[in-house]
Amino acid sequence: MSEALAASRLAFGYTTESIVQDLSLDVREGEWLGIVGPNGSGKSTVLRMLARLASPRSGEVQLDGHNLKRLSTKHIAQRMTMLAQVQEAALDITVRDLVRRGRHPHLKWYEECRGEQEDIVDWALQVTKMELLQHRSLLMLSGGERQRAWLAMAMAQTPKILLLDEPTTYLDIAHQLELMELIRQLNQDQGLTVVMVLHDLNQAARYCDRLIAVKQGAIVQEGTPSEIFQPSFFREVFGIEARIFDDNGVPVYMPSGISPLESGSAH
Amino acid sequence: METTILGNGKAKTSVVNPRIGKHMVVLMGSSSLLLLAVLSGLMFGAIQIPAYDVWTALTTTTDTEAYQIVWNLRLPRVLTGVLVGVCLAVAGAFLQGIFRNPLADPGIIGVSSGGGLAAVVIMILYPAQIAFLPLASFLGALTAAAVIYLLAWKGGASPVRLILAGVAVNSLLGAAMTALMILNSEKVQSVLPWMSGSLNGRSWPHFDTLLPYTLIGLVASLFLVKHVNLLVLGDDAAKVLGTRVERSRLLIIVVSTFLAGAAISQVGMVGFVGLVVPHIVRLLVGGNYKMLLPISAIGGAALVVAADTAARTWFDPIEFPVGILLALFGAPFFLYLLRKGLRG
Repeated sequence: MSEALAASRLAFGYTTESIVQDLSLDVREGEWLGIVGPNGSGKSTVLRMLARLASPRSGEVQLDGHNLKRLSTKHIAQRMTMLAQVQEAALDITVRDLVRRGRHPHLKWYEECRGEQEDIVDWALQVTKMELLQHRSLLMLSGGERQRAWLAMAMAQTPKILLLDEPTTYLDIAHQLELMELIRQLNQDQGLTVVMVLHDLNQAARYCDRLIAVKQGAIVQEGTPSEIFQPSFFREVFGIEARIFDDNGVPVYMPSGISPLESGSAH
Repeated sequence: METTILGNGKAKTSVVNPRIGKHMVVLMGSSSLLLLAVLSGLMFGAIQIPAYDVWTALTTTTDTEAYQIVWNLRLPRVLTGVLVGVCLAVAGAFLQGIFRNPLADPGIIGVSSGGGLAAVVIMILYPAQIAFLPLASFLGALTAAAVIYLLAWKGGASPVRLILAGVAVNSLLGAAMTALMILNSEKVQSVLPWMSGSLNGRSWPHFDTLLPYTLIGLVASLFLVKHVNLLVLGDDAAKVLGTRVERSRLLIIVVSTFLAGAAISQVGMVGFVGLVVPHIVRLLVGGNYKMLLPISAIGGAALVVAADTAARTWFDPIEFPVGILLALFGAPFFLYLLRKGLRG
């Protein structure tokens, strides 16, 4: 498996206080990588650096072996995109209008989205199951539908890598699972490489191929969900006591309380 | 991945947008309103000219009184009003988009305060140089916008910082303007019509000056529709879609300042159009700038021409500045719309 995205020795923040320090990670082609960690651990900052929405103080990110810094914004957008936690809410445009904008990185400055481009828009609406809602205004959609509309736009970009920052945060559990299943389909059927920051550790274990745990701006654990899910992991990374169960090969945790404070480990 | 896409592309879903019908209605409606406003602008005044005589005057060369009035007085004034409305509404629509704020208008980037201060300086301190007033106020508007942009810059000019810098610079320039007027209160009378925006006495020279600016601005706008459509999605979303956000935003600010500054330099501080027209149009056709921008342009032209016609006929023989009338009647109507919510 080759590396789609590689970060080496990333640091972020001001000299006095680092949000991320000396962090390296690889994203393999076709995998679904989850980034987990407590609030303020720097996991979203890592994702933003991978997307070039934040520039590291030192270190570099490589996309297909090229330094991200030296690639054009458009070139990056043809290969990789990111879906944020919350989207600009008050947009009175149709779903299809939104999804069309996903074609932007593939168009020249004078070109419009039409012809073959519209076929890709159709495809993106289809794989995200948004065809029936395509002429609705974003204002008229539920939270879950709106998130799917933005995912459709991201898919219209035909990226190789999709970065997502806690995309299920404001959704109810059914819509959370619906979105996760949809992303699993895109990951498996379309070969999309997925990097996702997520809060819900049980969902992380269920859907991700590999997890990276970030704490205080550094990677503290890395591995498959089964490798990572140990009581010591929950104690050291999140400061909680947890019991681990097995659900047909998928590890599931059940928190039982806050760990007793030990010097240096809980915070 | 491309092959999958093209394979699936055959299973084409229907691409009939139910909004298109509504868009056409709005487009024709606003165009009709504009034509109606222009026609009444040519018909009404101290002397009323029937529509038929207006038509005769427009299409044939005669030496009648109607011909003189239409060609020398009313047509140039109406057409200047059209350009002013187009410039202000397009600038307002753009700025509401890049600030992602429905309250934005050309005033927010200093066009009114910068152009206004420069104009007041000329009118009060250098009345002999009155011929340079349009140029001075245009440059004043550009300078204020540039200062606001530079003050807001900190590795990028975010909408919030631009708004804050705009508020600060606007109040500073506004204070300077007021101070100048207080210190020279005997000359304030001459400044007032300009301050509220007036088309009184505007004729072919004003139209001829404004036309190239409007055309340049509109041509540039055509290329910026795509950019504003991406910027409204938010800075991050626009960036991951491959937009160079700061560059796009700067280009849009430059074009908006150029358009609004040109309008203000010719007719004074006409407010409200840039705020209210894009807002109403957004309620009617939604937030896609492909429709929003052209319909705002048409609507802005119709509103300014209609308001100016009212301003010069209703209070005859007094000519009211069009800006005052716009605010007087526009503001309550605007509030009504906001409360009612126009969309079904």
